[in-house]
Amino acid sequence: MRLARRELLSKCMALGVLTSTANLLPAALAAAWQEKEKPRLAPTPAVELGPFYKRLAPSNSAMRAPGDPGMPLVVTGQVFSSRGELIPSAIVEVWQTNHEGLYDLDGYHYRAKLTTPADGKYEFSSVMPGHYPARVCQHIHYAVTAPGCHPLVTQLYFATDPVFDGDPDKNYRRDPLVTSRELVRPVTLVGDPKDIHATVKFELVLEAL
Amino acid sequence: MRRAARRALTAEVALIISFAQAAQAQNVQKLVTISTPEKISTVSVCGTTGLVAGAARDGLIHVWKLPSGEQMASWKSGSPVSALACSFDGKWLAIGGEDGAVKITDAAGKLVRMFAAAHATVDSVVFAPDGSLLAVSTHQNPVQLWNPGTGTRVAELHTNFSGSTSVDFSPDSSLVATADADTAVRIYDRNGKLKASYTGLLLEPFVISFRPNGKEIVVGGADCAFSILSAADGRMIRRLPKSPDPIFAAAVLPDGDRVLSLQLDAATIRNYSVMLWNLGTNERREVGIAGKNMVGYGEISNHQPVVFTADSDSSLTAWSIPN
Repeated sequence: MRLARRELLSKCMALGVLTSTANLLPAALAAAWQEKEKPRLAPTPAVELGPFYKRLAPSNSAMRAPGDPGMPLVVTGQVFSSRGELIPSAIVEVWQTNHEGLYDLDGYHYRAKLTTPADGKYEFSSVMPGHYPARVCQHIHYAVTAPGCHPLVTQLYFATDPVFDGDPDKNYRRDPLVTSRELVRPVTLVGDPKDIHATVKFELVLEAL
Repeated sequence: MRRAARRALTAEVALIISFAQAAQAQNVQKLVTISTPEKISTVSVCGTTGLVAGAARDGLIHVWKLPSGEQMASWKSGSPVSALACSFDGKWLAIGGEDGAVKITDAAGKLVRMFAAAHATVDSVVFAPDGSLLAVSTHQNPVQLWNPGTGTRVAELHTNFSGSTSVDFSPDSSLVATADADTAVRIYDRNGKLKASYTGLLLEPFVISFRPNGKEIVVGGADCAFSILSAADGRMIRRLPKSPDPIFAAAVLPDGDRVLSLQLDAATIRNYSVMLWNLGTNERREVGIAGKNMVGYGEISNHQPVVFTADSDSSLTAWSIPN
């Protein structure tokens, strides 16, 4: 017979095999132990903020305006704490260049400030960012904040980026700012040939305080 | 530059200076060219002592005398150097490493103490003018204030996320101001207590510098303009007309009215210009500097502003800017 952890603890305490100086009931002790043993998630690697963060971006998740040139892109994900909990009310700020590699400094094109609902999910539509001379890789900037967690500043990269030559495992370091292979995400093309767009999933894990 | 936008200088940007110098050479004058075995990546002027310290990324440190360029000392730090500052009296050097450690040495290279600021590259170190505090910026973390005399941490400053791009002390060492990645400008007392802040900037500020009167702070950044803030309460006093390009580094010259800035083309983040602004008249003009890699700024004995460039042949050139 396989005992559940709670039952095992109770029996051990009843037999005097396990004692607690904290004067806790077996159930409370088991709950505390289980809480400590919850799966931990590794925080998403941090990357340079980059020079063109802009405050007060709109909360509009449709960053791509109709007719915008470039490959349409939809990015989805969820925000977790390193304790494995989904984070509601996380603020996810994203910004990127247009498909030609230009940041909008005067306005808020390709910039958004999103708030996660109860399920911690976020989503935005955009276009594949372009390359620009001072940066090797296509990338989207993230600044994520949430109560009870350390802020996360990171970047999303694309496995389809020509820079990786079809082998991001081997070539992700071609951009010195790409510090982790984990940040290079697979890209899926969906839709019919007349209305094709790229999708990317990028989960975010914030280190719990 | 002494208070440069460290991120721009170290990460995304290769500052290649390659001007056609002839038309504007009257703006600057070559003071001295010093041959160095390794390319110098950062320079710090030791107040008005006439000493200047330079470091190569691999850890080679030099101290020279200006304007002669005579080498006074040279040693190997032992680990890659990412930041360097000389105290205003020329007695101490603070050497920040890619390993997050800060070494305090004397001007001959004798190690006085060492402390670990973070598990991250030290982006910049800045001495208070009276030498009593050292501001340490580490990658993606808020600035820390340390007592360089004891090696104890006095305070950790605050940002909402990421770190600070630039930090400066007031001339009387009573205040420290930071330009922060979350776009705020924050002003603290010397104990790290927040005194005032300005949150009206939308884009990231990259440079912050007190004017010599200690009452005003000059801030520039991705919004392509200089703002002048009150050091007492952080309020905006005046904003200069926008320039075409983001301001990545700047220094207020000793007269308090002129500001030397380094600007990069927003589209390429590469083609740069060095500009001289007049805060009184709002005028700006390009400064002709022939060289490569602007690595430092300071004032030598007669309050003469000097800019340093590192050339591809591993020489370091000091350029004086006429008063």
